[in-house]
Amino acid sequence: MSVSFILSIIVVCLILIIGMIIFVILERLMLKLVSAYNQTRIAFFEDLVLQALFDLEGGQRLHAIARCVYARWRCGRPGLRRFDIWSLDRSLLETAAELRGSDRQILVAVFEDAGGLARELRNLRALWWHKRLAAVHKLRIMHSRRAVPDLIRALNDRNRTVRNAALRALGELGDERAFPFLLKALEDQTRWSTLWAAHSVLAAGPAIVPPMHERLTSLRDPQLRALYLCLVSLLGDPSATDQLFTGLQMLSERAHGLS
Amino acid sequence: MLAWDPGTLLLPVAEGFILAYFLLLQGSYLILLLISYVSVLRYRHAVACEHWRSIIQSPLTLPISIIAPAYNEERTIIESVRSLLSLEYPEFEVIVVNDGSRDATLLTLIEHFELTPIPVTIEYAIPCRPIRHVYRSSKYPRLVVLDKENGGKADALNAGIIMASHSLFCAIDADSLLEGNALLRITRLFLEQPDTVAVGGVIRIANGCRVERGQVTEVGLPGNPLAIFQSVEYLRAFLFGRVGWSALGALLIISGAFGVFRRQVVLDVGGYRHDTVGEDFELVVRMHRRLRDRKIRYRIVFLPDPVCWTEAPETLRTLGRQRNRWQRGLIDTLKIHRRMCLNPRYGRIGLLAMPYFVLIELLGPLIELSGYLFVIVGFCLNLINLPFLLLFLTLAILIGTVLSVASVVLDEIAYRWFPRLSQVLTLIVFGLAEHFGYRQLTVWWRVRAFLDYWRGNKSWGAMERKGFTRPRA
Repeated sequence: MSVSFILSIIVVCLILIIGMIIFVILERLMLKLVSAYNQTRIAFFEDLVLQALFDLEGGQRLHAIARCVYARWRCGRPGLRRFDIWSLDRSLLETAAELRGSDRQILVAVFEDAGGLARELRNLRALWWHKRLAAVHKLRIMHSRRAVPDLIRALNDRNRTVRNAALRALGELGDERAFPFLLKALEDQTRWSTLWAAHSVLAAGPAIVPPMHERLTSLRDPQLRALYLCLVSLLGDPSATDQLFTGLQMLSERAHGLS
Repeated sequence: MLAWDPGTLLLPVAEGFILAYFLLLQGSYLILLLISYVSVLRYRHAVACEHWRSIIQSPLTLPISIIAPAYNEERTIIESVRSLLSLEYPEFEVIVVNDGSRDATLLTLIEHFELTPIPVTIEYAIPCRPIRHVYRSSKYPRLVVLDKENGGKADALNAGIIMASHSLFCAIDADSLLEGNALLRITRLFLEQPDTVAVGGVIRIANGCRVERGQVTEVGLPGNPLAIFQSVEYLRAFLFGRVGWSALGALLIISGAFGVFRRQVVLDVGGYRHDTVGEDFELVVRMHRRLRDRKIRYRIVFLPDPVCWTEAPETLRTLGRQRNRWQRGLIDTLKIHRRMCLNPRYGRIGLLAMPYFVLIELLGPLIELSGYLFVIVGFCLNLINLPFLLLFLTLAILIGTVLSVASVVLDEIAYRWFPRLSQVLTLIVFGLAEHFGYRQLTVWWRVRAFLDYWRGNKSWGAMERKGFTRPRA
């Protein structure tokens, strides 16, 4: 090992160490600046709008905010910078995750009309998997039913994490167009984790029970039948208990060579 | 006839060996570091938008038994159990195993949690010393306390596994605190990838942190320099060591302070061994061995975000005992499973991880100490070129510092645990300072472990605990 070689590695190490220290300092500084900037920009959005987005009370107020945000967007986003859009986007998503029913529908409409849906659908085709993943999550939180066909396509994504997220998003959306795919995932153990798929089926709610009953009539595999019945009973269908009992009895008889 | 000159004959050989070892060591560290950066950032992206509440609310979330062995822990036990009981998880039980404590651990538990003995029939599926009593709390239905004869940590864990009623169990130290969502994060993998049999989480140092009601509410740096050195070490060991090995599919260690296992798999391989002080390491290696022997598909993984806080030793004596024990555990495990080393049957474990552990972790301290002696002797005999030596030492220190700083930066990018910039910079300074004294001390403790192992020392050595205190305002 020559002296010049060692010296050059020493220089590289020093550059790396100093570079990393500068990076940490700059990163912290940036965070402070961003936080300060966000604080001042909140005023730009008018106290009422953002305050209410963070701390919602009542549908009337929400309608007013939705109109206000929507109008600002429709006017070509005057004065909106990248950070503002990002802040607003985050506020919408955080709020939507907390809401149910008609309140949520209002925010979904704001998100879709403001171009959020189109942007996230575009992101579903992004090159980077984490961008596609973030898009799937945003579409899930926003409960945007217009995104269902694209989310179904995302079930074939080349990245496993994106595929799993799409499966769960489809479950939570509870749209009947996705039901056959959810049930297929439940049965395909080579591609999906059964538990993860079962989570999605449960998230879909009682609306998925009729297609499950239909599938049960043609299902031969006893383990899958038992799984279907368990899920149906967890979804609150009382008829499942009887079917489960019959199914278990059949399994028990088969195990003891009675049939 | 040529005169025999040890300098001309031995020096090039020794130099060549040191250089080759140096390149192997630093090269493997750098590769692990690069792999860790990629996997930590990938993992961060993957869980960034995770909807944890949907997992909590789902009836399919896997229930878990938390096993906390306790031996003379009267000072920290209440805080630790309270912390465990307040975890954010849908279904779990906390099994505290009082391993024949000589202090008032059991009494403290009985009084504080209003425990009453319950009659149970125990089937000893794996070996452990007799369980004297099983207690339950009327106030906290999730809490079970086992009182058994003293048999060591492994024995206590086995007793906990026997009594566990869920398919997953989490082994933790009774003096540790789990982060509120740690269980949720660590069990997610069991849901997503059903072939997962064990998952390890990060251990972080709680010294200097504010602890309220069994939870770390404010992260701080320890006031004791020895504990700060350990903070840097832990960051390095967990964030790039274990993450890197996990990404390579060859993780050999899941820390005894925090790991989640499939109960049935651990029962099948015979539980924890009593006759080793590195029972956590040994169990994971044995799991690899048995599962590969049976050609079963499995995953043993490390996750960088479920966090367990632990109290680091603050005196040289206690730290020395701890490092000595870790090294003896390593020697013992590698000796027990020596047939796996370089055995293609065990794939990456046999061909990559085991040789690494033998060469770098096991023999590392011996080689490093030989290096120091070689330098001293060479210098006395005037066989060493001093400027070259200084240059080489500078290089070694700087590469070591790059690794430490890179771990701190990785933590900063991915998790930003330390709220103040000054804390991060302090860690970086200690990452450099550890090469002047601290590193040599750890080498000495680890070398002494070889002597102790040879003498048949299997003791744990007493650990002094201060308990989780509030930092100075």
